[in-house]
Amino acid sequence: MEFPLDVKVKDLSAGLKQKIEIVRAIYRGAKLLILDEPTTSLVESEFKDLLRTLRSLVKKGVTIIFITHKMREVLEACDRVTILRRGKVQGTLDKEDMTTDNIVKMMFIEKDIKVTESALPKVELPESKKSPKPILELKDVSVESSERSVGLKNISFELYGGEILGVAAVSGNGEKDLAEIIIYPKNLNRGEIYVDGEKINGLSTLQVFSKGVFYTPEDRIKEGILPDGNLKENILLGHHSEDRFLNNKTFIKWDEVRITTVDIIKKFNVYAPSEEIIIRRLSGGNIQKVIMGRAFVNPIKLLVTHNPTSGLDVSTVEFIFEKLVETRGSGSAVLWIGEDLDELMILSDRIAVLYKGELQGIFNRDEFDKYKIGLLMIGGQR
Amino acid sequence: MKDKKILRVILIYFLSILFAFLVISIIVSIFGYNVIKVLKTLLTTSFKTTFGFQETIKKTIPLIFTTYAYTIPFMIKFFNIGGWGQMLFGGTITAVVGLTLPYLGINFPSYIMIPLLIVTGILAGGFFGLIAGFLAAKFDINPIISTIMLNFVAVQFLNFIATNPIYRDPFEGHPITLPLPKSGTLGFIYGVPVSIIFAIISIIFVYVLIKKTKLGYEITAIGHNLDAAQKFGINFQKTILTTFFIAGALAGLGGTFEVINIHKKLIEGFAQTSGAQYGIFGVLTGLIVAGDPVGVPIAAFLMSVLLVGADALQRTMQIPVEMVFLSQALIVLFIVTFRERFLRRT
Repeated sequence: MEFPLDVKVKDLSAGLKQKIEIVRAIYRGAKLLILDEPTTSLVESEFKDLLRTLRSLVKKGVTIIFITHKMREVLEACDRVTILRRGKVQGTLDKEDMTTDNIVKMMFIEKDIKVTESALPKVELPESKKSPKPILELKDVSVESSERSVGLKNISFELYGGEILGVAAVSGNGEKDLAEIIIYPKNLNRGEIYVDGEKINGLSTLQVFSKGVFYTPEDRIKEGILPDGNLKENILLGHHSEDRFLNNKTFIKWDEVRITTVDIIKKFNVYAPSEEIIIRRLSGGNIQKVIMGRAFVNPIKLLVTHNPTSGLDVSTVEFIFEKLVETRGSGSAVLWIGEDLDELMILSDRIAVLYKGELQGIFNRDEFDKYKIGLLMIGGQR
Repeated sequence: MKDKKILRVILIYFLSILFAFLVISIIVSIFGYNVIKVLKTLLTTSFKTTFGFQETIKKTIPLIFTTYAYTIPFMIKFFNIGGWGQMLFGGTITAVVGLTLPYLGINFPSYIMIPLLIVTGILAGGFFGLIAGFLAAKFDINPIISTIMLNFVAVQFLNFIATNPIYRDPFEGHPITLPLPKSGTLGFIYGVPVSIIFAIISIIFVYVLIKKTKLGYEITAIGHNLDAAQKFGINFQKTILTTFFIAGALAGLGGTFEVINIHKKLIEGFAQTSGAQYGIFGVLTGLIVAGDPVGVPIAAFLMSVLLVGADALQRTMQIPVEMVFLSQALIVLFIVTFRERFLRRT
């Protein structure tokens, strides 16, 4: 593991922070290690690294509780598994009984969910018609690096309607800058960004949104919602300057907002008693559905979505997957920034790899190779 | 669920006040006063006589303005300690305009003069608030520091004007100006300042602004989560400027009414009551309402009840007014502590 020793921890990426936590626990010589979703920000090879470390610790007599929602990790990492569902123990399986089937059955008693080998929902990617012209086009876009991030270096790519472009990057490799420069190109002075043929350099977020772009941020609680606001206030966020929700450009039509919110609750299967509920009281999956739903208040041409499924259970992930496929099917473009290569490989038409702010290559679906792409994500050679 | 929460809030406030009065009773009895009489005076003076009630309203009006001045920036997590200075500045500039016009031989009728002075107070106070807002938005200077400093600027500016040969009343020993022309003053109805009408308009204005407008939504959103608000296109710097302008404007307007309605001239300390600034009581009251503009008028009224009671205590029982500052501080402390302990994160 590689650490920048002179940077303050608060300025590090989520991935690096996670790694520091793990290293610290190991360094302290803990006898019982409880790891709560330790792999959220790790890529394949780092996960293997971690696994090796954990194995050697186990050999030395350390007990490890490994909390995860990713089935593949259970299958690879654990000697026994206990399944919790809605706060109740559903049962414990020994190594020999641990199969994807058995676990899924215990996790989702009432549902019949198809999953892939890596325990992700199986969603088909149907044929779709690519738009003749790109919806999103970046030409030589660069963002200065800062203490906080590596920035971007000469990024160029095109994204067409009816296409999902996955951007695979380990957290802290410029993927956040990529999302942010598209929705806030105000200070972009190196390179050009076009949405549907129109240059958006210098526009504010709301102006970009008005071009048919919307965004779901990486950290759903910290960046995505107003935790103490109700669902109406949360749905309005980002749409608060649109004429349809305003009288005389000043007064908010709360009735209109309410109707839209109710509509989204229905369309996105948000499990909420009413649109008046404070969003903080909802589960992570339902919060993510609200955030997703907000993106579809208006018809959109481009959805920029950053880690939309992180930390969600399989059935919500499946729902989000279906929404992305549906968006693609309707002729819109999806820029999906993520760090879970398994997920990206299921749904992306193409995958672009970002490492230290540089594009390492863009792969078509028939070129997807988990090992090769995973290696590029951590700076390996092609 | 909502009803339950409201009940809880009421219970918490009730208990806080109860505890505060308990402590006050103990202190008062140590000093040898009659506890029952003290509490009765403190709480009932406002309601026993018409005069008491009129006095209470008279104090409530400026307090509403200075409490808003604290509360609105507090909604975006900024501390405006400058309601005091903004009120002084608004009142002072109002007096300058009101006195300069007749000095130049211009005499407007009151239907021009009054709106002119009101607008003057709004703009002057707003400008003064905007200074702190600008420093915060542009240079990241904490408004706690800038507004406290600006308070002193406003005090000195008031003295400068009130002792200026053009405006000063030559027969007064204190910094006091000549009276404003009659056309530039407001009267009383049933012993209540006419400015009550404008206070009510301001209450409605703030309510509509916060609950119904886009700007109010932006302020609320930033208060809930700055990161998310900014990500989704709300301009933080602009909102800092607007909130500080509105805060200053309301405080300044309060200052205008103290000058044109209560004193009818500019007096050093025109924005004081019971020996302390309305601006400071505004901060205290603002701490009680904790960033909820809807609670401001009620809290301001209750605070005024205590202030009137305090004046009565001093008059009738020779209890120093500081005792009441103590009780107000205790009430605020108890409410803030209880709220933090029992209401947060539920």
